[in-house]
Amino acid sequence: MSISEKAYHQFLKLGIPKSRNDAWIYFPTSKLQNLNTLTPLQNNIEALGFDLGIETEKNIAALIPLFQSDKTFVKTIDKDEIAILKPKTAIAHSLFHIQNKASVSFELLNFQGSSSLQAERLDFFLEEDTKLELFFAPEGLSSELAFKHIRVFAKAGASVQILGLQKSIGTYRYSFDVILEESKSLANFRLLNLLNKNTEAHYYLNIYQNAPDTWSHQLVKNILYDKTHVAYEGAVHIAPNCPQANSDQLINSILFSDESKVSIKPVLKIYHDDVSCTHGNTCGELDKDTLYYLQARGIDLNTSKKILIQSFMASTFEGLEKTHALKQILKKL
Amino acid sequence: MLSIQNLHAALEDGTPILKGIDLQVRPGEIHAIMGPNGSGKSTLLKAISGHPAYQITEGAVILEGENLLDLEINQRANKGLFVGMQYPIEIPGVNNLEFLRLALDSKRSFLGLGPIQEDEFLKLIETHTQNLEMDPHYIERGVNEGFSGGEKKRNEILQMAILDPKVSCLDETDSGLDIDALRIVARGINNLMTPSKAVILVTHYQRLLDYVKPDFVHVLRNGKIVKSGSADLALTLEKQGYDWLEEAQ
Ligand SMILES: Nc1ncnc2c1ncn2[C@@H]1O[C@H](COP(=O)(O)OP(=O)(O)OP(=O)(O)O)[C@@H](O)[C@H]1O
Ligand SMILES: [Mg+2]
Repeated sequence: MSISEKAYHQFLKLGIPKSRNDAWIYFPTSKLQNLNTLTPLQNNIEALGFDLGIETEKNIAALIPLFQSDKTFVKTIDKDEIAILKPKTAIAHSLFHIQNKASVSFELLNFQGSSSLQAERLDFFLEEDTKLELFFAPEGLSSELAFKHIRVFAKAGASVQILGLQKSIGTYRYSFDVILEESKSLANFRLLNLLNKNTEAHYYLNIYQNAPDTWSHQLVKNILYDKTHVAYEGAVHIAPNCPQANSDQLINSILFSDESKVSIKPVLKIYHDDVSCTHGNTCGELDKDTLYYLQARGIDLNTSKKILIQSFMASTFEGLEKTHALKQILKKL
Repeated sequence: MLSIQNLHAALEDGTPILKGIDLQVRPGEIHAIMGPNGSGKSTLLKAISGHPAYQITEGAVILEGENLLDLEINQRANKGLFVGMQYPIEIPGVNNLEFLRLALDSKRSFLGLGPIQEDEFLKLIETHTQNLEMDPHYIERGVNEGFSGGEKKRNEILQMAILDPKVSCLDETDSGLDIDALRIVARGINNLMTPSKAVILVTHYQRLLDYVKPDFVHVLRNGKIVKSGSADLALTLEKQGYDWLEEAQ
């Protein structure tokens, strides 16, 4: 069986998710019904001998791109190479093999296709001491329904940093599987959602810390207007025999309308004692005392609000190295 | 110049806190307000400056002929009212220098002036940070972000010095200051004073009043001024406490 056939087979086996499905509880699953009509394309999906985990895959968003694209875009980044990659056209499946000590910055784009579904999958295999920086800062309307699935495997000393500034309108679900396979690997996830209209923005993140001395960090900020709904499910799985694994997660939201909503589900699965994990979640309006303080210094209410929103947004990306990705994001803030 | 007339203020749920405050402050005067914890001193300053937690149920606050209660918070400040907070707020991510510039430009715009020139502004900052013996690094950090208690108070005085208000109300600016800082802050207050300005100091201790000599001392108790007197009153209070004063009705 080809990769594509296997993926289609698994997709049929899983079926279209219902709202009672744990991993889709916040998603408007009524929008998924058309997925019934998907059929596999004749294609040439490859994996450079890597395991794409199809037989055990539980997420249909990881499978659809494998039977809906015509071929895999494959790229190997050589040892010690530094690359900044930005796709020119929509590619449903891409696979990157990043060799020792190489460093890659990759921009995830939204492509306005004619189809009502946009499904994309990226697989990254990071060798030792590599750096991957993945970022997205899309604006405007996304397709009716969009899936992005990103899967990253990290070897010893590899780091993956994912930075997102989300402003697109539509219904979409980004899922991430980050597997820290060896020690001293780390994952840093920073996301700012700045959303309006009827946008349904869903994030489903799984970080597997399968080795000692690994680190993961999630910081998510939401500024929501109108009828937007953000769902964030961030799960950290720390395997047995993994001392000195650290993880933290913080989600702060400011809601500017009564009809906007955030759904947050932190999951911690820890199978070892000597680990440190924290998570937190705040939701509210702009702080009244701070607004008063600014105004009491002569600054008008609107400007005061703008200042606070600006600093709230900027704090999402605080303390990071000024990389290519960060510069692109700050430009759009 | 500032006239507080029969001021009543209540919490959002209607609980009265200020129960008829009368206070006349003329140009060139320094007033001290003392009183036990919870008597309403901070509430008085927040209420006249427009803090949203308090509703004014009665009274007026006239600054140079205009009722401040009819104005927005920022307009009151721009007209020349300054309140140095008992607990200055930290605003991470908002740069202190930019904050000061914005505050100053807001006032200038209110007065019909254009934004301050870069070099003039930096000069002003340099002068005042030197007067207050402040480490120039504070100015580059977030507003009060990670500042110690005393540093925050000094930062309030810096804001006051830069904004050059007509009436400065300082809420326990002396608490949390070490002995040297107290002297420096007192000097900052005295430097600001001119015959056309006024200062209201809220304090618990005589030691600030050793450096900044008040013309009047008022005692606030249970939301009312129960006694007013000269500077000597503060000394009496320091010796005898508040218990000899009658409880306000
Ligand atoms: N926002 C508020 N919510 C609830 N209670 C309040 C609020 N503001 C003031 N109070 C109450 O009003 C009373 C006066 O408080 P205020 O802070 O004005 O006292 P104070 O005289 O400044 O005291 P201190 O010397 O301790 O600073 C207190 O009993 C306080 O608990
Ligand atoms: Mg007080």
